[in-house]
Amino acid sequence: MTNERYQIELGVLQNSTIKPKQYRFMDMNTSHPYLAVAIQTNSLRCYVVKIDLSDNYPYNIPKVFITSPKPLLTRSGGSMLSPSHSMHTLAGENGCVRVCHYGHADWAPNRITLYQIIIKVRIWLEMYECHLKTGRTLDEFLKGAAY
Amino acid sequence: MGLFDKKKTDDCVDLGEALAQTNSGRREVELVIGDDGELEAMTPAEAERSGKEKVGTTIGTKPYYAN
Amino acid sequence: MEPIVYLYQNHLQEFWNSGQAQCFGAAFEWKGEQVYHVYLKYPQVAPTGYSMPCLFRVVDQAGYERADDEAAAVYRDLPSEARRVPVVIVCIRVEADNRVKSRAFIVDGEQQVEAAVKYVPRRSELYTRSKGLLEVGALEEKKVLIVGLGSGGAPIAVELAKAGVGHFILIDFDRIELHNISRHICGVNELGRLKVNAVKDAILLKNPYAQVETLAIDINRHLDELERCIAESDLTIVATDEYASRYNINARLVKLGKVGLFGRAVTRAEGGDILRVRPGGPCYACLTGNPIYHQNDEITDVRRARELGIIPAYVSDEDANAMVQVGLSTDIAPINNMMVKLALNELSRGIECGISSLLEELTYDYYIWANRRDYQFANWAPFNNNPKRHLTILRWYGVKLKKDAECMECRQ
Repeated sequence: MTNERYQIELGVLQNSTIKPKQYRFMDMNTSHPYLAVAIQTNSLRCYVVKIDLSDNYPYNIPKVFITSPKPLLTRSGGSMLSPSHSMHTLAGENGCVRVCHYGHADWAPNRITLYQIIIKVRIWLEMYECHLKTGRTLDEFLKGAAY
Repeated sequence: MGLFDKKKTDDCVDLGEALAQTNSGRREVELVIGDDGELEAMTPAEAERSGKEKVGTTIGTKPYYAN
Repeated sequence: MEPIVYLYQNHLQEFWNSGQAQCFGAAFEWKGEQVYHVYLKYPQVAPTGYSMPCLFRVVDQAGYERADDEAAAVYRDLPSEARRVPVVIVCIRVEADNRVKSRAFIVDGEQQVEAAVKYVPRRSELYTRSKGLLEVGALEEKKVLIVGLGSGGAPIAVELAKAGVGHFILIDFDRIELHNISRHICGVNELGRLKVNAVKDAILLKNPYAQVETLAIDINRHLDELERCIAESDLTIVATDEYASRYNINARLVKLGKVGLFGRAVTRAEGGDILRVRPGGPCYACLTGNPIYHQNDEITDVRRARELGIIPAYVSDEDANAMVQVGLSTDIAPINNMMVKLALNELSRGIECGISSLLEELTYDYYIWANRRDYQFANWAPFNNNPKRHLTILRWYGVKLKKDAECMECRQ
């Protein structure tokens, strides 16, 4: 990520509903930079989300992981580390669940910022909690979502 | 141009606003660093009680990205 | 049929200048066709045909007139092992006005046949002979960077060489694989070769004097090198199959104020599009953020599509294989053809030539082509019954694409 882009991302976050104490850009001068964000759901549960910026962000879709709690489990206690279409997950890494956010066909690096990814992950987390309550897959909830 | 039937890709902005409206005053979360060096998310009250280091961004004061 | 021997004029001149009386060369025969290509030094491109021994000898005027005796004598002096196969013997004579003359013989045991000699001319003459619509002399100094040498980039490279472009930088880290062959300009004899080398050879076969730099690198990991190449080139042809590299090229075109052409086939090559990025115009990111843009590139390789995330990880191998829908080479050809026309347009700006009128017409930054009324072109009008002149197949449409005022890549 160039410095110009970094400034844009910071600017967007600064003007968003995400508060500065919730996030931090980590290891930015290394080959493995990432954004760590604390997200709270409607149930007031707290999660840490890691958005990996190492692979040509914003030109490649960044990998997004839930790093805390680790690992996230399904309602029945099963692993979510495998790719699943219905749960909107990709292959997890280091015991962290990887969330599917923007797909290849929707990715537009000049319009989508980290803020929008955070919002998508927030939606994913809300749906995940719905799954914990009901056992239904995320896909079923997202299909009914108004977007 | 309407040549292809495709949604705009910035539909998330509206969702963000919708979600922001559900944020009541009691909702707050903070990024802290745990004893094992792993990042954790907790409410400010929990963070105060735990004594863990708060690591959230203070915009404009730290040169995180020098390039 | 009389045999024909092809000689390189510059080789003969160099041999004469060296002052040697005799030396060995290399000859290659198109078996059964009596056509021989003879080299005094190994050519840049691996020669085609079956190799055979060859010997050059400088002769005086008398020797030139009875060159058949000279050739017979040369043949007799050869070691017996060299005489097991036919040998090409070339007698060279330089006239007082420095004009090189030569007579060539194919000698096989007792049989000796004189061949007609033809010359592959020097650089200056090669260009003179190819003078046509374009002032090739002008394009000789132009440098084109081509990123991605698959079924798009490779034929475009060769067409530009044929039009007289003299300098190329080729970038691709892939090798020629079996699944490429049906659509690539390279054949089975080049399996396993780096595409940059194979395409370099294809260029040199059309223009032996082209200067070609090759880089078998992943540009996403060599961004400084990419920037250098774009800065040095007059035009960048973007023919990669991967988004990150296109965006990386786009960012540098914008930064350096350079012109680039982005071409691709979509899904199963049912169509394709071309974007011109120029200073002040819309950039590639303006296009991909625009609803007009269809993100579904042609998928030609499961492994690669998985790496790029085009095929998500949760899609089974069986389903992934079904997603690979390779288009026909003939469906990609129109896109390449238009890319070449637009490239020549850009390169010949300011040069009076036979295609200048196109500059006044090909003024769009974005062009769309449909081969068939499939997928996203399903609602286009049929070709044969279209009284209201709706969008239809097999013709180009120029699109007035606006710059995205909010674009994070190119806004000021």
